[in-house]
Parts: sequence; structure tokens; C-alpha cells
Amino acid sequence: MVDALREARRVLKPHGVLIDVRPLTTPMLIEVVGATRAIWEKEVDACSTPEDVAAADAAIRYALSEEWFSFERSSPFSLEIYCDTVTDLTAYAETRHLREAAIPYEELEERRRELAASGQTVRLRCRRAWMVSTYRMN
Amino acid sequence: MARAGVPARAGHRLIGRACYTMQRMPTQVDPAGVEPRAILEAADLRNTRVLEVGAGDGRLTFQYASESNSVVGIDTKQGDILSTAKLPKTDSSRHVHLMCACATALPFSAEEFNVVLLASSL
Repeated sequence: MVDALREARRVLKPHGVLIDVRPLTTPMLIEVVGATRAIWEKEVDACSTPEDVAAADAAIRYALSEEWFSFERSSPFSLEIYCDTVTDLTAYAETRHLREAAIPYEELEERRRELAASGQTVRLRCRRAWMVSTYRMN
Repeated sequence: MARAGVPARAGHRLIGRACYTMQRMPTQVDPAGVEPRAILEAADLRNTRVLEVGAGDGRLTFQYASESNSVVGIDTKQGDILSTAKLPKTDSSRHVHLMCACATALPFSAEEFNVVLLASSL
């Protein structure tokens, strides 16, 4: 990870900007949503590799201590993913950053079917907190 | 429309005697565009050359590319990059070049970019 930051520094012009965007380690919210509101929700642990997160944070700290970059700002935001079915969500999770999330697929599908059977139009939503941080090259 | 007594097929729903096709939506990631907005608020991309590390299939890339002069997106997964060939050509896509490369050995000269965006790649 430090090597990636070293390379970023090499290809950046003087006073260039480094932007680091990644999910936070806080739990992800899985919801079954109707037309206007969440009908059912559950928090799940979306990060089973805290070592990787710690290593990324350590790499940033190292780059700052070496004065490669100066911290400018951080802003949180919430990223939402909508799927129609648990199958769609599974397919997405397998190929994306949700692959390590402990999503309760069976429970989710059960609730989705219950609510759909009662005539409600429902979708699945995952909400996860992300952070965008910017650093200026010294 | 299904006739009475004819079972509904998968993806259809029988209501009374009529069978209506249920509209399926594709998986939507960040439909409100919160992530590109957060990036554009974090840094001024006007008149910049951007390197995005971990661009994947360009989902995020194409949403902010028009704000910059050009974007090079890299990813180690060749499959994701190839899938962008199927994307429709838009104004944004003219600014974007996606390629397979590794963040720890960038195939670029020194001082080529104004901005490096690490997209969930640290």
C-alpha cells in the first residue's frame, strides 16, 4: 500500500491532489424498502478484513509522516445499492466490495417474499458509509 | 395476456384473469450520484488530467469524467475493463481511457497527472 502511494506521488504533478475513497468499517444497513420507506432492516458487519483497513490507514499515516502529502479534508457520504431480488444482490456482492459482507441472504429473501406476497412493491437496499479524503502533494 | 387456467410464467403475476409482466429493474449502485458529487466537492477537477486507480468497469469514472480534461482509469481485472467496450459512447467516454495496470508499478512518466483518485484501492 505504501508502494501504491509512492507511485501516486511519482506520477502526480507538483501540488497535485490525491483522493482516497473507500468504505468505512461501520456496519452496513440492509433494508427491504417499499414505495416510500424501509419496511424491514438489519445491520450487518460489512468488513471482515480489519487488517486491510488498518494497513491502508497505516500507509496513509506513513505518507503523511514522510511529508509526501498534506491532509486537506475528509467528508463522509452514504452509498446506496438497490436490487430487486436476493439473487441480484448475491451476484453483485460476489463481484464487488460486498464480497466480505455477512449478508443474511435467507432471512432477507424470506422477508422480501412475505412483503411482496402481501401486495407491496419491494426492493432491497444496502446502505454503507464511505469516506472521501483529499491530500495535497508537498 | 394469459388466458384463464394458463399458469403464469416466471416473472409474471396473475391478477384475476389478466397476467401482467412485472417490471424488473437492474441493480442500481448509487442511483442518486452521491459518490461522484462527493468527489467533485472534495477536489476541483476542472482542467485536470486524472488517474483513477481501481476504476473497474468505469461505473464511477464516467460520472465525473466530463468535469476533467481527461481520465485514465486502471484496474488489475482485465474482465472489468473489457466490459466497458460494450458501453454506449457518450460525451464522458471521449475523455476516458481504461487500461489494465497495477497501482504499485504505474506505466506512466513522472508528473503526468494533476489528480490521482484511489477508488477503494488502498
